[in-house]
Amino acid sequence: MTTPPGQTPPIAEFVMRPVPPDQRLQHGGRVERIDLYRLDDTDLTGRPGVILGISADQRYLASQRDRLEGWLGAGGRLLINGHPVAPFLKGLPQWRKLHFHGVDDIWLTALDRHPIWDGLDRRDILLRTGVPGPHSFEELLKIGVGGFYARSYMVGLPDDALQITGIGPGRLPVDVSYRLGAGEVIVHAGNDLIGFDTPGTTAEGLAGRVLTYLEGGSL
Amino acid sequence: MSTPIETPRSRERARVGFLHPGSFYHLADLADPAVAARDVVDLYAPELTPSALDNTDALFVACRQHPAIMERNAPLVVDFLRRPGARVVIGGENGAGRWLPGVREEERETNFWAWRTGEDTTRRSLNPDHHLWDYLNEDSVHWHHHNAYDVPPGATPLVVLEEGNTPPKAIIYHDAVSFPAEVVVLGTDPTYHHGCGFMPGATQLLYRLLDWLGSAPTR
Repeated sequence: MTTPPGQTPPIAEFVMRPVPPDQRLQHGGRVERIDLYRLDDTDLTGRPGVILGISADQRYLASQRDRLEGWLGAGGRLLINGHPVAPFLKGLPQWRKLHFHGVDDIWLTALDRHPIWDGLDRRDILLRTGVPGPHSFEELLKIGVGGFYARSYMVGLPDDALQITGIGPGRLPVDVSYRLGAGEVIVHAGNDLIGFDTPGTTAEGLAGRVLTYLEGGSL
Repeated sequence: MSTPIETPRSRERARVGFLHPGSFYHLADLADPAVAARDVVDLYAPELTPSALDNTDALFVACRQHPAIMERNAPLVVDFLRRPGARVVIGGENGAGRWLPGVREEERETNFWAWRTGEDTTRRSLNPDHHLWDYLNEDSVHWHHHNAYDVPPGATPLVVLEEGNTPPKAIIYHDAVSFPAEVVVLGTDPTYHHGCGFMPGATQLLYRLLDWLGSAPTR
């Protein structure tokens, strides 16, 4: 994709499937969706942000480490979704399995502030259901399903990392952010963060907040 | 210096290939000691070669492969199905209808909350005398599903949807007639959910199917 001079290229979102031309531009052109295996021939220069989908091949990502770190060093903002199992970036925390029974074990607590998560009541992303209609949190405690947002945690955080959301009684980190050169690595150890944008809750507009931040904007 | 002992040492135990594209959940599956204890061979899908399958007696095609990589590897999987006595599991969300001969596949909405509300998903277990039930149980097959299949002539449906079709579409079936090998086709995605760490039934299904694959005749 070529971007006219003076115009910022869109955020690159790498996914584990070929992307038909009519699905390439998403979110009104703010995001360009790209097959992950094209990362090695995608020019990241000038891209303000990159999103890695949860299914991304982490062995392949390890082979792209120098390119990703070079781009981050120049000021890129990277959102990693899913559990970091392979160490494919400098400073990347590592996934640890959590043993849980019931909602208290996976309860989500706001910790350090980060612009993307500002104002987000973690109860609004804790439980889901497909039962039609609006549901109070009390109702969701009875019929909702947890674990989508997070069900494990991370260890090995860089010293200066922000711990944004914690899980369970130990408030172990599931959302973290750390500096890498002039750039920032944000890890959400759960299902794709953008998918938690929920109308009528404090999570409404979450997708837009993520994109604005990855575009280099302030919130 | 002692010589490392090759496992499985006895060639009476099958060697099970685990074909996967390096997503975090597949790497977590492979890192699970309970999976490693079943003598699983790591087959990284983007680099699969025909000779990589020479020393395997059974094959688990992990769920949610990259569609283009799956298409490229499909002839190797189909070749493997031409080995008399071999056993193969095709994981869900792999578009089997596009590449596995004789398979007709449909998508289904996923009800992930029925276990909280008691809704009837119309999913039923069938053919309790079939030998696969020596390995499977109810908890391992009734959590959720994504795909439904026409049962090929001569194949045995193990879990079906009672949604008004005659015969009913299958969520899991065993086919010992379409190919020289035996194959189990899944409309569920246990290798995804086990590696994600939030679906106990999926963990059971993965372990139990690995046990079935591990009981394949050896060459």
